[in-house]
Amino acid sequence: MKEGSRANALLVELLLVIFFFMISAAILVQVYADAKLKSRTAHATNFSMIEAQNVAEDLYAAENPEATLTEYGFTKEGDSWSLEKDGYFLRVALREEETDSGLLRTYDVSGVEITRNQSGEEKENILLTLPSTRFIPKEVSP
Amino acid sequence: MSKKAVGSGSPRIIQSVFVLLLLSLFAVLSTFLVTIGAQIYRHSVESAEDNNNSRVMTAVVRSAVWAEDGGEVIVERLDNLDITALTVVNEFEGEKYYKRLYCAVDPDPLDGEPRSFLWESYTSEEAEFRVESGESLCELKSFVPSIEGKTLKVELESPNGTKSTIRIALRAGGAEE
Repeated sequence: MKEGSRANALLVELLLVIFFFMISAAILVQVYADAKLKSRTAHATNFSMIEAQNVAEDLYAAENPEATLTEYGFTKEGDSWSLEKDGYFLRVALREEETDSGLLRTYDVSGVEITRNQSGEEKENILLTLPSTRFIPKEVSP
Repeated sequence: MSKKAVGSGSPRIIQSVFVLLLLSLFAVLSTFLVTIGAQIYRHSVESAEDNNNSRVMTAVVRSAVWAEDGGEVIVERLDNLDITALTVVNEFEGEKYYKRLYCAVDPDPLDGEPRSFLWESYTSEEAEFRVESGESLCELKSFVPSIEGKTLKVELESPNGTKSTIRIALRAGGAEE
């Protein structure tokens, strides 16, 4: 009788240990998943920043910005241009402001990451936006 | 008598096997969790290292060029030292000053191990250029600058193999190859 109750106590103890281990494991798996996502976002932010800087510099220097974007591989989607990369995509949107003395042309280069929320819906997460502004003066007649 | 012994021993065996099974499950799951954790940790560290390397090397080159963009930017080949340098030439009071960015092996390493670095040097026209006359900025495996029109392109590779390309539109200064 004594041996039986001792064995039962051991079993209950083991079950309790495994129960707590399972709870800890569930928390750890969540932490690991979170760490992996954060690492992926950091990677995407870093490399999209380098790419966005390059695109912004080229757009600043370009006489024909659309040709420059096509050369990079961007495709036009409505008002903006986008280019898919490894784990993120770049989006370029144009803003123009006409003034008396010329045209203020601004290209907003954004790094965007696609994330999924808990219900599985896709959501855009804007990682960064770099403006590339250039003033194009009007020709003034003497 | 013998029947009683078998009847009382059988559940105990089952119980022992069950306990052993639980213990094995515990051991397997622990190992699995530790392995996954180690893999994720290693991946995170490698990714952070890649990010740091690429960010540091591109930021160093960009800021160095932007700081001196008023001068003439050239790609200079120094055959005697087997170095291709990105050089910004500025003129003050009739004398030319050269700011050079280049990749070279440290000729006098502190730990005795030859390693390749990105260097920055600032010398006057009269001073003879030497690798050690510059200051090492960060470890770098390769540095390939080129100029296309008004755009400067630099291909960089970090010691762990991370490759980055940076493009800079030269603003104030001219560009020559």
